[in-house]
Amino acid sequence: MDQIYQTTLNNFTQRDGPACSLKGCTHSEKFHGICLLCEADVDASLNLKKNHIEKESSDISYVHNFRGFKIDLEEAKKIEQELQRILMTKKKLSLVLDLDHTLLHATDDQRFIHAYNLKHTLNKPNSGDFHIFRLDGHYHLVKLRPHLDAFLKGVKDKYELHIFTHGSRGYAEQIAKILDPDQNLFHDRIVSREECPDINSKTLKEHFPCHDRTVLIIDDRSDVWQSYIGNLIQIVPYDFFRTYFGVESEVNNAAGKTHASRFMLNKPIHEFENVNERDEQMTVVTNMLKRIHEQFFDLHSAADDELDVKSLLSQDKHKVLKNTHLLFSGLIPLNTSPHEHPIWKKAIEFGATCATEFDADKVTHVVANGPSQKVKLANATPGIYVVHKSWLDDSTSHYMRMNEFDYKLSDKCNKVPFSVNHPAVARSLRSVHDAMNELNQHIRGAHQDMKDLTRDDVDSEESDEEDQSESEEEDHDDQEDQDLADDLMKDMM
Amino acid sequence: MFFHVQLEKNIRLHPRNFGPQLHQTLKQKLSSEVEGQCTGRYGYIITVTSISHIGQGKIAESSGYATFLVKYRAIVMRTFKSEIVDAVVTRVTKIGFFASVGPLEIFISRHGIPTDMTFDPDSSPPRYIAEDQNATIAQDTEVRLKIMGTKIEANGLFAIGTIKEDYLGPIAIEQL
Repeated sequence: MDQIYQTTLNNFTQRDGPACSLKGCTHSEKFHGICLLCEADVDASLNLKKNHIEKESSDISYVHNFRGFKIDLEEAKKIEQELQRILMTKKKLSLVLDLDHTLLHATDDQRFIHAYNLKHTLNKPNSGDFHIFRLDGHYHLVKLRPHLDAFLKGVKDKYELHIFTHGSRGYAEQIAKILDPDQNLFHDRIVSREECPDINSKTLKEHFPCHDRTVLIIDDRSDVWQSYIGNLIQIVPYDFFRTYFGVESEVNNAAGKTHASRFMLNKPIHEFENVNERDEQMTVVTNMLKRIHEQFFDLHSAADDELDVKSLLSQDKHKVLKNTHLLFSGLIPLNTSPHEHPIWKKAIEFGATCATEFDADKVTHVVANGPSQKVKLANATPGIYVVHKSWLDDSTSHYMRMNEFDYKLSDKCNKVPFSVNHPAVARSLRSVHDAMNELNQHIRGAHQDMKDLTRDDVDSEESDEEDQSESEEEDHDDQEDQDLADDLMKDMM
Repeated sequence: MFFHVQLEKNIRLHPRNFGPQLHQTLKQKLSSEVEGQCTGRYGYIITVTSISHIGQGKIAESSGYATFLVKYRAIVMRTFKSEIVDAVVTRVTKIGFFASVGPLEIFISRHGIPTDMTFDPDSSPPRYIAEDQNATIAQDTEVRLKIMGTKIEANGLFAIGTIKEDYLGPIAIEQL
């Protein structure tokens, strides 16, 4: 007999009931079929008694990248509870991160790799936001999302970080090496395609068997996290190579949705390192995560076990469009139920209330794509914002209510007005302002030079004239630059 | 445990090797084919020490390949239940750690770790640490362990072990 039996001697003072009971090993933890508790070959003994049908096993793999290990769900819960308790004492929550289109964008397009290799020597191949590595005979060029470094530094003390990607194991490990060269952030908390073969869904069940009350997810896709929508902070997909160069090749999983990009630039490929990006998503998310972490541990107490990040997250979202009453115009097809439409659901998710009919007392915003009856009606009523659809999109993706005036929609114009408050635009504007200030100083300097020249040096008039014409030329150049900057400003507005 | 055993193996050779270097080629081919292999009966074949006999080659009619029966002696490593081995820790997880004895990876689950050692997930690298703080198990620590069971599957040999007995556990490195 190769099984250990647990023997429990009952209290003999009790007259009724059995004197002792025997319990076989439950084989709750197995490593390649060997029970870790009693060292019996469980698979073999199961094969021997085929007719003995066991109940459907609830075993899960639990540990990242550990083939052959199976643990009973209940057992795993016990371990997880202990680890969660430790995490709580360290004031940490868990954060699951997607890779592609969320933290970075990768391409194996030969043109970029060639351009990149031309510029950088092999000795020091990786610089800044661009990284290159070789996997399965292919080179991959990776562009990290702007502010990613600050994001990781900002959240690493507050969250235990996990990677959850549908890329291959090798790919995920290479990326982890780039993000985390000192192995401080992820250790081996990486889930890849090998552990989660279903490309259309992601689940936390295997790695967070207890509960998902302390887990937040950052991903660009919401469709894969069906049962964990409440934990998800969805961010705008990051499509660096596609947005700026129109490259369609996808290294790993399918891209979120094919969305027509408004920034499609199709720049020449050799300029790929000089793209001026407007992407503030990582900063937005960092602030949000810090906020939720703070709230969680303000409210958290050892006795109260039921505190859930899901409710905090939903509260945080609700604040964005709090006290707004939206009316959609020209966005929801008439033959569909408005309550089912994604835009409706999104507005509700972010704390707005929605209406189907125009009611001047209630409605605060009319959200539209272009001129319509409702827009006309609302424009005639004071106190109602008439905004372009992008107001809602930007507000939800930045988790902040955008200034309505920057998205104002008039009766005639249906052009998207670009918000000056939009963080990315504000940043670009700032750089334009800086450039203009510099130019102004330059011009002032030139004027000063001219004055100096006319005051002294009377003996050689010829050279003086030359100098003057030169400085005039310079002046003219400056004027041109100024015009250029003004044009830029206009474009931006 | 290591053994020096007599083994045999059929080696197939391409006709282009039929020539004066035949024996040399056979030796090379034998080494590359068997060293590092793992069988259930003998365990891992570490190295071929000598070739004792090379049989007559038989040529297959269709392909022209010749098959030689080669008898050789080799050093093998076979582990047994209850054997005590010294191993190096390769990976530490929340449910146990892995230690390698040459080619063999042994898994020591949390049931095989003394109860006074707890998992510390936050340290880098992750480790098990004793309550009195004077013993840790992290990657590259040397441990003395007892093998509790082995299993042979198609893709390798798996073993589980324990350090939950007297004189088992991390081996202190002598200060020089």
